[in-house]
Amino acid sequence: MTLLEIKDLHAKIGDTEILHGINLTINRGEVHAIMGPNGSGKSTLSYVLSGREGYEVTGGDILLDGESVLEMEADERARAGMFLAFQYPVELPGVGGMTFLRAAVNARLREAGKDEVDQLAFVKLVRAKAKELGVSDDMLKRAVNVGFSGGEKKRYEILQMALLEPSLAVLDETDSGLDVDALRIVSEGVNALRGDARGMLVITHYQRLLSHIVPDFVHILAHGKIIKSGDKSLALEVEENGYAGLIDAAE
Amino acid sequence: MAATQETIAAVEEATGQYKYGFVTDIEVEKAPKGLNEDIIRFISAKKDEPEWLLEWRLKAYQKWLTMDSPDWAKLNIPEIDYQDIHYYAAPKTAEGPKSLDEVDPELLATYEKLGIPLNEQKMLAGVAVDAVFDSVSVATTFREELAKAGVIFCPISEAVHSHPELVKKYLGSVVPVADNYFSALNSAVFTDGSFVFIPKGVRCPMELSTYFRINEKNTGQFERTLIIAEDQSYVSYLEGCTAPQRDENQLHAAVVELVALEDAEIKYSTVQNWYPGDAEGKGGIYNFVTKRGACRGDRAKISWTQVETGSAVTWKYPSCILQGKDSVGEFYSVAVTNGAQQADTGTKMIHLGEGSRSTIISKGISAGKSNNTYRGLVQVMPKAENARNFTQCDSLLVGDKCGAHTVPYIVSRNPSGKVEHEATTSRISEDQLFYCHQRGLDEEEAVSLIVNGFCREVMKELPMEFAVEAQKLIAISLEGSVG
Amino acid sequence: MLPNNLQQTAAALAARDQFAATGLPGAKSEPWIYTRLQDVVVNPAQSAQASTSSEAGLVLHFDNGLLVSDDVTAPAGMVIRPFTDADMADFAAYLPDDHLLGTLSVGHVTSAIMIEVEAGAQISDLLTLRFTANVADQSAHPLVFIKQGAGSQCRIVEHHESHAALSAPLIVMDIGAEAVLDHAKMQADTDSTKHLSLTVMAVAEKADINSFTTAIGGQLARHETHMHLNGEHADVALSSIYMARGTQHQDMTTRMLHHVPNCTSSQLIRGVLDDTAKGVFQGKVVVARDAQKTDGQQMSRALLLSRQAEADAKPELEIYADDVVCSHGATVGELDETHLFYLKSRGIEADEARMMLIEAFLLDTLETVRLEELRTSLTTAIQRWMTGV
Repeated sequence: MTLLEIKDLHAKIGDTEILHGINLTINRGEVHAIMGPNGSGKSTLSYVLSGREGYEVTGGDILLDGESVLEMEADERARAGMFLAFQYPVELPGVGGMTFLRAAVNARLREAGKDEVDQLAFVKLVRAKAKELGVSDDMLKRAVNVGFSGGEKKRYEILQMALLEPSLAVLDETDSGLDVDALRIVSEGVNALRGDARGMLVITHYQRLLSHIVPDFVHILAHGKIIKSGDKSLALEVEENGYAGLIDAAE
Repeated sequence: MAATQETIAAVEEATGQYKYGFVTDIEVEKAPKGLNEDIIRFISAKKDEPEWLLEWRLKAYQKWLTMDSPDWAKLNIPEIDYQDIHYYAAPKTAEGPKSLDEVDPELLATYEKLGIPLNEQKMLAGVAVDAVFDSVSVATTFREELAKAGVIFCPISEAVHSHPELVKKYLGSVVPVADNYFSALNSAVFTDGSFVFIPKGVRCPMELSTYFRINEKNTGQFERTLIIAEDQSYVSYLEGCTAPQRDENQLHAAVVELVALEDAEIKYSTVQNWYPGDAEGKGGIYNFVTKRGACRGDRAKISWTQVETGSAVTWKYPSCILQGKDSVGEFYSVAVTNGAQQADTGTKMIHLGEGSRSTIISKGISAGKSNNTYRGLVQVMPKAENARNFTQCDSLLVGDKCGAHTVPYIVSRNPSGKVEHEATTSRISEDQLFYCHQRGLDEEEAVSLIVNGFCREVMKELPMEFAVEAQKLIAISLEGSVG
Repeated sequence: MLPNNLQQTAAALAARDQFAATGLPGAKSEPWIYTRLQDVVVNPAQSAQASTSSEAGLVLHFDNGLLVSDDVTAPAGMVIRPFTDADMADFAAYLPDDHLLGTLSVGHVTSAIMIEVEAGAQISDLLTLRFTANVADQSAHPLVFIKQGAGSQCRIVEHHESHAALSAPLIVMDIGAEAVLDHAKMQADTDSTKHLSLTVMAVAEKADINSFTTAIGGQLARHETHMHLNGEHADVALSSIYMARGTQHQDMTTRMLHHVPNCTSSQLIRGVLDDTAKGVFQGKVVVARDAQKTDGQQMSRALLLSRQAEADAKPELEIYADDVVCSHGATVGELDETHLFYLKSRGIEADEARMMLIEAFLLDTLETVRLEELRTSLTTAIQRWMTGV
């Protein structure tokens, strides 16, 4: 079942076109990886998908469950099931973790015409999921991302993903800044969420993450275009030979 | 903690309107417009006051005539015609004894509508209320229960008769009549307000609160509140304020005096939501308030917490005079301005006593075309050995047509004193908004969440019931300021 | 280069009228709440008392308010000349409206000099402005107008060592686009002299200003500086150290006016106060509606060395633009006892330990001075102040 369809997507920031025609289809149950060197447009793709202001789509379309999301605001897309795990999660001083998580979950429930969460049950649920991901109670009490280490921030992103149960999860450089142990915990968290209900798009520079979260498909992004697609062996090829050869071959 | 949820509900419910803008249709008795000695005699006679108090009022009036309206604040206030105001307005039915059974049902309904049920069964457990409607107190709840603990909580007009010695001793002892133009005016014409006395060693068994409502057209409200906490006592006091939506400006010039004796603690919280006027600045309350507390005894503590979202113009500096050794003064403030509102608010911490300490946390949020100023004085006097002050003032700008200003005054005359002041000005970052949007929160909710986070250090000082109310108010006040 | 009839120019006459009409600020005047002016003697010096100076180098010497340097050879790219009548009006236009210090000295001008630096000129010589006086009942009102062309570079130091009733210099600097200015002021007037100065800088785009003030003299001194950031991407760093003892009164008042976007300003202020001295810092940062992306920082610290000393501060932010980073901080306190004890425990004598700590307190500010050759004399002046010599 088709979850996400990106059709000939062109996008620019200011006057500079960054994405020059991206085509990609993700079905439910699939994990796709996008790999590419710095400046290839990886983060731009994640922001364009999630509807960040300042990124202008100049051509093509993005369909989620068959519906175009281009006219939707970022929060509408999120409520429609799109989740972005940020490369650099943002600090929200003074905003309590529980307050934030509950607000996000309730926003979705309201959209679906459902009752909001029971406060006590929610706290219990968050604590249980947090424990699996090694997110301490103390972290839950603090303001969102404030004073968290790099690894803590990434685990907190995955915790949010677990609670929000998106249909499409976009993971932007989730491995950056993680040590081996943290990488394992985060990957286990992500793998636990794999399943027929959702698709995932894992954006990364290195193959390292993909040995923990093994993708069904791998795409190489360079200069704003997908230049090659394949299975997980393509990631190993990059690991071995770097991007240069692939890019040269494509050009 | 249910605040976010409640905030959303409140936002939906209010849809950008000042929801307390209704008028109660009730028969009132008013003094004729204008201010002169006869009006003051009229007010005094209405309250059946003793001669000494009338003399006190008349003296204040004479003093007021010689004074000028302060012009140092960063406020643009049109000339006020003090002869065009009713200085006394009272529901006719409010006179006489005020047992709850006798209160006019129309008044009870008004307070019910404001979310302040005066029926003791329906009330929030543990909160006693004094309801002041225009110039008079119309009801005070839980008085008997409080009396058992020795606590006096009654309208000040009543205290003048029932406890003249206390009123005489403390009235004007913290805020002298001639302290400023508005305190002199208030001293001449004050009508009602609360009187609280907590005897030695008593911890007040419930929160006390006064709910001020201006209803009548062309009236001013000039309330006077006096709170005395004897040695080792404790009280937490809350006040809330609303007024109908009217095109003309109305004047509110209150004086609040707090006295904390040895080891006593007074916690005074305000949620001020007077009608702010419309987006273009038409109408709204002029809120000119003098609030001051004296920590007279050693280790006495006075803590002011205010959430200011209303009024067209706010001129207000709740202050502490830290006389006692190791006495403590605190000021926690959130001031939100939107539309054409103007606020010039802050505090004064006067350190006289050895080891006295003060903390000032001020969060100003400006939106629309409003101007929001923090103005504060920290003064360390020569005998205030080892005095400490810490001040943090943060301003948040929402939109590019408003202004945020910080004007701290620091006077230090003791080398062992330590004064620290920090201030920042910023706006909500695009990153923060996007992060919230990506988690499914819309613009209003995201802003409300981030702003409430910005204010958290202050909000956590409010009693629980008030914190929820205050969060709603902030969200409502900022409506229409983003997007 | 003696003054011509500048006192009879329209600008001077208007200023004198204004000054006479307003008089000294009253008790309720907000800009003067911490510095009360009394017994200000306005008795402009006459040319008869002026001596001549034979100081070598690029030095403009004002003695008793009058320029006494003859035959100063300006380096290539710099023109030094007396004011014309038109210059008076031009100069006055830079001053804030109805400002006491402006009307005072424009109205009673004793000498006025124009310094023009051509566009692109790189003047490596240090230009010294020396202000001296030795007549106790007179006032000095020198005007200095510096116009720095686009892309030029200039280095200026003011030395104030007057003995007079009043030394009230007015300095206006118009700094062109991409110009670089290193400026320092060392004020060490005698302790019976009042010093009331106003310095106005108008800063064009991408200009780079480093200005440093050391104030250790005078009975009462007010150093008021107004910085107008008129062009984008200008960068202004302002640092001040003031030290006062006895009954001295030192007042640092600054206004940092961000009129346009993308400028950076920083201010570091350090005060040391002993005996019954009083120190004042008033600093206002104003960010106009359009001045987005402003970065305005200000930090003031005062150290009280005696029980009777007093420090007053009023750091102000007035902000109308939303995308800015502005902050200020102010602290007042004494030397840290634990630091003193630590030094003493290492065998350092109390007085020396105190000096070390005061020097440490001033260090970060001293390090901002870009005029390298002044650093030694600055340190010496500070040390001399501390040892009371």
